[in-house]
Amino acid sequence: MNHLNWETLNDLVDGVLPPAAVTAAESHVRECASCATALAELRATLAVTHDLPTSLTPPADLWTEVRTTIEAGKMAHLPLGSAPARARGIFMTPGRLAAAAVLLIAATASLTSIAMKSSPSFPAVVEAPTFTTAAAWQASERVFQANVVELRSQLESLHDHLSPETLVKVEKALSTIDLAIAEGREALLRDPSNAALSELMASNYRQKIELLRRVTQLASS
Amino acid sequence: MRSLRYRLALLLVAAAVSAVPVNAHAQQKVDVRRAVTRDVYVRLNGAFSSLKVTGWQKDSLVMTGVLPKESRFEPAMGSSSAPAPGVKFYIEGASNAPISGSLELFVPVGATVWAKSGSATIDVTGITGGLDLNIVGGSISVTGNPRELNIESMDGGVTVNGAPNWMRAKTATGDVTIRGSCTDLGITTVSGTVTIRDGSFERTRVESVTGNVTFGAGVSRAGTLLIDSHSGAIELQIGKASLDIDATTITGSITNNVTTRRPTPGRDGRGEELTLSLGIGDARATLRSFKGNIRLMR
Repeated sequence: MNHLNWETLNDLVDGVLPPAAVTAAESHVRECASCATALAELRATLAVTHDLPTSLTPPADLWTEVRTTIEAGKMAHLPLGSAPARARGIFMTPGRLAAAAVLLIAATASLTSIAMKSSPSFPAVVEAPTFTTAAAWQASERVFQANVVELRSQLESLHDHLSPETLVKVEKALSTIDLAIAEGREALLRDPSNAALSELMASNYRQKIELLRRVTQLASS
Repeated sequence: MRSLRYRLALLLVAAAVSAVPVNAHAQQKVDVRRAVTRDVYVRLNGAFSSLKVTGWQKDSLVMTGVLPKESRFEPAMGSSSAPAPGVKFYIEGASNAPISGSLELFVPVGATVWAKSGSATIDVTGITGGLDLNIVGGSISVTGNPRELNIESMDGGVTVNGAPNWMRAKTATGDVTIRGSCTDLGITTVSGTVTIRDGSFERTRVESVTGNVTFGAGVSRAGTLLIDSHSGAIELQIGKASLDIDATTITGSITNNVTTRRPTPGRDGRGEELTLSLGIGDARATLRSFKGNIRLMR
């Protein structure tokens, strides 16, 4: 049995399928539990998203505030590994902790946003934020990795939709990026405040997430 | 008698041999014509191996070509007689058969064309609207000045000759070559080479993991050029550009063949850094590489 592809399911929901194709698709859905479930999920998703606002405009002064807080909260380079507790205590005042939290949130959100943005909307030149501490970078990297794991999982479930040749190409490209990330991570942990390095790392993660997103889309269409 | 049997056997073999290609290449003709709006949106998705798109000065769409007989070709063009604002084509190939089929599409120059296939050769000429082209393998070639150009390819090469206003190209291993100009250009590749030549570019960002990047074009006044590469070499052919250049490598080297200024050792003595200001420096180039070498040339 040939299941309905993603395109057809979407067209069916959108009501843009030709009448003959609608009849065929609805006939198939009546007999195929898998496609019926997919169609129901798609309709449910559309129903949920229908009531959402079409755009969200952040307050005009948000970035100014974030930037000001980041600048005010920039910390000295923290040593890696097990630093003496007393030495850490000098930096960990409540004010600095709050600033660090804001820095982490802003940096993580910015970097994730940059990496996850789809192609048509992101501007040509986007500067990734610079990390002043290894901890800030590691926190952002955890967010990246969570996105990678999620996309990887989606891709795993769609493996059968891709040809073996395509899968080999994808895995090879991912290995190339992983190697670059490993080298960059090692260097960044030695020198976490290196702006060029953190931007190169962000670029490599963007490549990985973008590649996974594209392949997942390819498999699901 | 023996000779007759021999001839009969020969005839049977000849018939069998000639029958095989006929079945293997059984085809269906595609010939679709429709009045469309000048900015029609055309969506083409499915199994084809070759697509040629041409923009023309007519308010109509024509698609011709051949597809394997087993392919399912579904055009959706609306039922009214008014010019269609949107047209969709879906081609489902026969399962377990190699993708084939050659199509030629003529659309108004201002059309937006979205095309997606597995492995295909896509050639586009003369479109001033939008193009969104997506393949796994094969190649994509665009000639002309589309307003928006988005290309995604796994290992297919990308060649653009013209001046898109906005362009994004993403490949895994496919090479990207651009000759012309662009206001807003973004290219990402894992291991393909990137070559940009000829015209003037206003905002450009190139990201590569291992692919080499060569930029041999102008940067518009107050424009920006940003090239990031992990291990690919970066070559900037400056010409007579007026440019502020900021080059950094983490472990690679920087060669400056433009001025006498030598790069300085990078942080912790690793890698190199070089800052140059050429002319009145009204445009800015930032070149960053982890372990690829950077070379500046006239």
